[in-house]
Amino acid sequence: MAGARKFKLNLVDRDDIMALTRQAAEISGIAYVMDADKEEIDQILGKKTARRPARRTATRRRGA
Amino acid sequence: MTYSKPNASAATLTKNRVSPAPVSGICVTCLDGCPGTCEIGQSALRSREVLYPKPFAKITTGSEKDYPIDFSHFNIQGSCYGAQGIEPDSDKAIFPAVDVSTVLGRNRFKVKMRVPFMTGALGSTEIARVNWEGAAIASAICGSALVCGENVAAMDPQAEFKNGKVVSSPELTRRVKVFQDWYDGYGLMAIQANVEDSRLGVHEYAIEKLRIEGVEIKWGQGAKDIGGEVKLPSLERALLLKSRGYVVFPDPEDPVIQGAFKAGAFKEFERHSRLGMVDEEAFVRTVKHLREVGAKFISLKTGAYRPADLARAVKFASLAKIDLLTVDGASGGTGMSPWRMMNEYGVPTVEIECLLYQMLKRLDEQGEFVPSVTIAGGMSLEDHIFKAIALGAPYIQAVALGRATLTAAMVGKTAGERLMRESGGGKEFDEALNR
Repeated sequence: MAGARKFKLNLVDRDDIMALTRQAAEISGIAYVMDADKEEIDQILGKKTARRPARRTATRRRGA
Repeated sequence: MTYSKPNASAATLTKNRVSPAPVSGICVTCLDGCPGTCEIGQSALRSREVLYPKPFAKITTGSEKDYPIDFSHFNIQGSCYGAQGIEPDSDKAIFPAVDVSTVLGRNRFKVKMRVPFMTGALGSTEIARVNWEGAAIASAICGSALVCGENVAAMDPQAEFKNGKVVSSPELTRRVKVFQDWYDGYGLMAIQANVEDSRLGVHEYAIEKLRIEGVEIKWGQGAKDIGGEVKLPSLERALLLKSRGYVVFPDPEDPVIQGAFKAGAFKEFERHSRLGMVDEEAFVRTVKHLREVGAKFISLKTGAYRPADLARAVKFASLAKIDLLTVDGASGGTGMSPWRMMNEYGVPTVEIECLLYQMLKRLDEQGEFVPSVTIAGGMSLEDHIFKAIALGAPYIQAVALGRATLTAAMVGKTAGERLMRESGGGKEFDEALNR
């Protein structure tokens, strides 16, 4: 519980676990690991945009 | 691929001669002349003995089927950010500051528990009877709840009955006393009743004479879709229990069967409980009656039945405003159950908890009464408890651990007995315990 930062049992909630398979996510309604925390990630990093490609890509190498 | 492991198991003390075909479990080549060490071969020789895990009275058993989804399909989300339930201060938010206590009950009488787990129901199987003391004392010390399972009074050879109702059961009295002697205000002992127990007035006896506060109505358990069972090693026990209203198989009153038993054709009778006939009106009436005779905490235990029956359990529990609903999924353990039924019947625990969550949420959104709930079925360790509480949050208050608590009690008893033998008792025993 300490690792999950929940110090009282009744504060443990469905967001404190993640599904490791899509099937487990579908059955349970628990977020699939790759989809968890989407909103918070957007708040931290800003929403994804399609306008400009990322500066560093594998295809653009300087030098030889 | 197959999830099952049929026809050969440590549970039935059977094995294959060579690799089995995956679905039938029969060796890929079944050889004429093989002594028949698999379940099919042994059934040909020993008939229905092979139905059940062995040896009865010395084991608890859990299913071997690897269900498609279980708690290993979920991981716990750790974090390095903040804290809830305590000040987000590294000197305060230390792990010993975590509060794992919980409370059962939504009516006036509440049960505080120091820990978020309780035992499963430990009833009339020999393994439960022999290890009751360790489980009960440990539950009381931990501040946890303990359930005395079905059929205990009726199986008690010293029990006395009047007009078909139990008036004295030394075994039930013993079990209650052990817990009450160690009880210090946390946890609870509840006594379970199935069809036979209800007919014998076990709950009324326990409330009035043994001052029990908690009672549990039993519909079923995860390990079986039928009533409770035990093996009986003597003709006398078989006749006694038939006279007390149980289904005993084969019929101990049949002279042919008596002759066969005495000749050694078979070594144990089976005692079965009846299939209950669940009914809303009867359930609400039973709960009302139990409150009137003094039950302070009423619980319903149901098994891994089909989803409509889970809905019935949830709805009836709400209508009757009981204190606790325990749902036991398939993969839950037992002291005795038909082995194939344990593996191939019932809704597995993760799925049943997901259905349970949906149903409780629906009731909650309708503004209906939602009892406290515990979930059971194949869990044993602290991460299972966390995941089970999280999966059904906020509706799950604790997790019932049947086999795990009994395993701990058995190991403690075994170690204690060994130390006693080696030390000879007295001061040396106390010192040996400390080491």
